[in-house]
Amino acid sequence: MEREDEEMCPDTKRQVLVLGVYVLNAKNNAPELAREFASASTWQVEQRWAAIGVGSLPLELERQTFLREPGFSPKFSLLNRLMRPLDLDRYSYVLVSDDDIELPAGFVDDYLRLVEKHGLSLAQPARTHDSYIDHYFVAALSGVEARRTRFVEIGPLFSIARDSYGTLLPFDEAAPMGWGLDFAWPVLLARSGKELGIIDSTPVRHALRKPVSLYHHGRTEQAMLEFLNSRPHLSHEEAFVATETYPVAQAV
Amino acid sequence: MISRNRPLISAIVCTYNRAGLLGRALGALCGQTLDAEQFEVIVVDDGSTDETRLVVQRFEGIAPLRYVYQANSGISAARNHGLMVSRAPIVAFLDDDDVVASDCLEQHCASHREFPESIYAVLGYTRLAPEVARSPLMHFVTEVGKHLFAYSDLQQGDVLDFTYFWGGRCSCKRALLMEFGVFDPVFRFGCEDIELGYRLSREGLKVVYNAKAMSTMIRAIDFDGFCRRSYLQGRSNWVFAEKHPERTVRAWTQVDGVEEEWHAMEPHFERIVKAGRDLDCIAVERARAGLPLDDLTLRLLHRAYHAAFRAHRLRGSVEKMVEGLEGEVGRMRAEGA
Repeated sequence: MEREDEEMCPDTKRQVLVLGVYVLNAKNNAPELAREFASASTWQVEQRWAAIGVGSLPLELERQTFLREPGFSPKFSLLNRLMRPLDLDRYSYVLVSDDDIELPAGFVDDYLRLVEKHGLSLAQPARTHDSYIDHYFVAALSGVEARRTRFVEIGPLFSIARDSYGTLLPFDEAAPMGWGLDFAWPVLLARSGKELGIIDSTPVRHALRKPVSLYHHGRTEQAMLEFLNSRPHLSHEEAFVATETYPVAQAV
Repeated sequence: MISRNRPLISAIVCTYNRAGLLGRALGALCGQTLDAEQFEVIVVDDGSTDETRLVVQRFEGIAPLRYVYQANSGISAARNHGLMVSRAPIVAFLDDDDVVASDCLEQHCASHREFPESIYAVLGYTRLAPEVARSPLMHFVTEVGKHLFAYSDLQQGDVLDFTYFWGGRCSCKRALLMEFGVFDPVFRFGCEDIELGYRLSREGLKVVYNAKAMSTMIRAIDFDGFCRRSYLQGRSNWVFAEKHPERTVRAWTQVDGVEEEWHAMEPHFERIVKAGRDLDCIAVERARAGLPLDDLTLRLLHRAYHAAFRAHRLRGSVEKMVEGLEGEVGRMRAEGA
């Protein structure tokens, strides 16, 4: 089931499109996340969520759920379907979120302010140290505001700036769960001189569910290897190096 | 001056307001037997307000050196910062008050060549500079009480457990940390290295001792400084044991029974500290004059040191415990409201 959003936004604030996927029959924070995204004061936030699994939609997300899939469906294919009807050029940023994270208050305003300040076409918030962490390179650096990197994870939350929609969107569905995209993206962005980075001072907590608890690890890993074999990509050693870091300003 | 090629080893030196010592530490790192392309030195300035930046600038251009700055956040955060900007497959965490021997980094690399599996870390040897070794307190904490890097039981080539993953003189494979864990910034001072070592031990971490990877500590810690350090260590011990309530960690942190021990010691705390400080003053003055202590005074001095440092550790652990309980009560009240 897909639904078009017909509402027009008269606001003059710049727009950000939030795309999210949540699992109906698993514990999730999607309603809280939707509230947090909607609370942005310097951005006009439009949210489009996809619900997978069975169950009734949470009341808070009914109007923002544009896609329902009762069975398993690859995340990046759902994200492509969510944005397909839209004119993306309306949005300064596309922000992609999972449903099992916790965000600091004022996240959208603070995070995107720093993304803009550091000119990051592809970015993510760091993960708190009490999160499930796949690659410790993204663990939050205290005392650091942001860093330029050659790596941004495929989740649990990342943002793409308008200048890179043409390079990164729609998502390459040869990596259906997205595994491997994060090692191919920096190669694509480097060709056009675009910057990647991690915002350390607005970290996301990812502790509700263990990663890969809802789909098959082995098959997804195999798909990633096949994907990477056919795409130029960075090794872990090449990817996991911060090229510049920017300290948090200290009060004088 | 950083080579475009990937170096063999990154030496990460975290520093905070020690401009007076840092120059000697960096000077030694600039004179390594490794070629300049084979190593890099990363100085992480943890929010210093002294001349640290200027000291580092003196070495730019003559050493493969990189300086990064962060708002003051503690040793764990600083080491993580250095780790993230490092480029070599081996990372060595060195102290800003240690002067490394000219082949120190080469020795670390040699041990890693001998033990190429990612689970092997390397512990180097740190001795005290002669002027530091003359301090009765520094002699006590390294040779008698073994509060600070105690090597007397170690032999070259020993393969050790996580309790020897001593920050400031250890190196390990960068990939191991990227895959299995980095320093937990909750530890601003104390336990940050052993706690990480403990987590890595679940992946099989082993620490190889190479006494030829040598450094010299050039800073003597005074009595009040070591009391402060013991207090912070006590706080970190409590956090470590709370984070990992396993028997091994509780034994290492010595937190079992701290409350009872502290209650017994608390009424005497000031007197214990005063006795330690007074005896330390006598010992320091005699050492300055080149006069030895008689056996009885020496035994009293060591007992006084031991009691003062233990009292501070207990106080640190118990205060941290109480803060945790108060925080828990506050959270319960907030949830109830």
